[in-house]
Amino acid sequence: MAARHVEMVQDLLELMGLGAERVTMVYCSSAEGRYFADMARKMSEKLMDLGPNLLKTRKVNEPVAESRQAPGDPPR
Amino acid sequence: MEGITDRGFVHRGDPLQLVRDLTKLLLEAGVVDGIVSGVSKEGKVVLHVVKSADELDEAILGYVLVHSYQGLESTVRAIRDRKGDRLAALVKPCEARAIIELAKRRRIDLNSVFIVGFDCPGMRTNQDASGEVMEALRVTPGDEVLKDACRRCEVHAPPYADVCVSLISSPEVTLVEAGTERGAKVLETLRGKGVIIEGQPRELITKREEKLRLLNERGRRTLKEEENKLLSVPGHERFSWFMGQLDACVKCSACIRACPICFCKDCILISKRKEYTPSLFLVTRMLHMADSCVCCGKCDEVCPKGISLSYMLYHLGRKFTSRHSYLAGVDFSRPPRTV
Ligand code: SF4
Ligand code: SF4
Ligand code: SF4
Repeated sequence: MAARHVEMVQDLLELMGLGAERVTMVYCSSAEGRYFADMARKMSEKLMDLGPNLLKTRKVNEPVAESRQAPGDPPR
Repeated sequence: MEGITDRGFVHRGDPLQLVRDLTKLLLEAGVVDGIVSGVSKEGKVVLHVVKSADELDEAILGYVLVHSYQGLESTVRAIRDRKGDRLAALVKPCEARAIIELAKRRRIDLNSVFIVGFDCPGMRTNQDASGEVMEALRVTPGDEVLKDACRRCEVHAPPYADVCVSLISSPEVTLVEAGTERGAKVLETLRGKGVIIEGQPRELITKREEKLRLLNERGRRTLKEEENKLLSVPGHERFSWFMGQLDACVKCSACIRACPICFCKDCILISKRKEYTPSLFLVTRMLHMADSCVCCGKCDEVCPKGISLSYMLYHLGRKFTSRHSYLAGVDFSRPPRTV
């Protein structure tokens, strides 16, 4: 069921505008050391391309939305 | 008589009286030991389990139909936490769905709950239970007074109930139907007492179905609109909106305690509260239960910071569950997605 949880995390990142590519899941057995290493390298290259995580680089204490307003909503 | 079907029953007159007669019968016939209802206390409505028929006159039975009563305890949680007692509950469709979700996870035993479900056109924001709540259920309120969660609600009839009560098809006539054998027996006794009459006018059945169709459509339309709007906003703006919401959390856990779905006995967010940053706190909660969120909007109401919880939860949940074509709490035969 781990796959479903990964899916959910991807959904959340996508929804938040971070892009789902930041999380991935690969299946490999203990005998597939080389495959695992390849996948890990691929992923880290992809993450380099994507740039730093906005979560890490953002300024803390950005303005906080206190109103029940969705993004894209006209102001109420 | 022409235009009358043998499906179900009708009740004419005050629907509150119908609910009183029904719950009284449940207690007297020993079908249940208690009725989950409310009592007025210092101007507030608080949850109360009525154990004897005499107490019923004092109880606020329309309580169930009020979304924004001031306490944190909800009907569903009352049933869940009082395991062993056989209780009857008057519930809205979202609450019936929560009961189904919990039954699937073996947190509620359906044999010990008698569910009286109501068709629901949506709840107004911050409505007070002392008002004519039953009356409010007959009308379809304008969208401007509807709670956010109710505007995107896709299920306006209880998917499961022992007895289903519908006030939405006519101002004078209430439609009553049994959903289980147990419910059928109870309604048969009520018919014997002359409280309800057998048979439903076909015209009212059609009206009910039409109304439900429109209400469910309104939910799907709202969801689609909200989603399109969200996706039209560029990623970085969406991100700062989300972070603004998440950072506002003060980790008070009111939303956890009010949610009918949050069912973990030992909630890690409560026991390890200090170790979580506000955003991680909320993200963890969302990832834990977004797939089974029934869109009741209880969390929105209790959050002291006014965070759009049901918005985030439901959109995350729908994204996930539409891929698995799973809608929380409508189908017993489908196991939960993440268990
Ligand atoms: S979400 Fe709102 S409209 Fe839907 S069943 Fe619950 S109270 Fe009624
Ligand atoms: S998360 Fe909020 S809307 Fe969803 S079931 Fe819980 S209280 Fe209701
Ligand atoms: S009710 Fe609001 S502030 Fe409290 S924990 Fe939930 S989201 Fe955070």
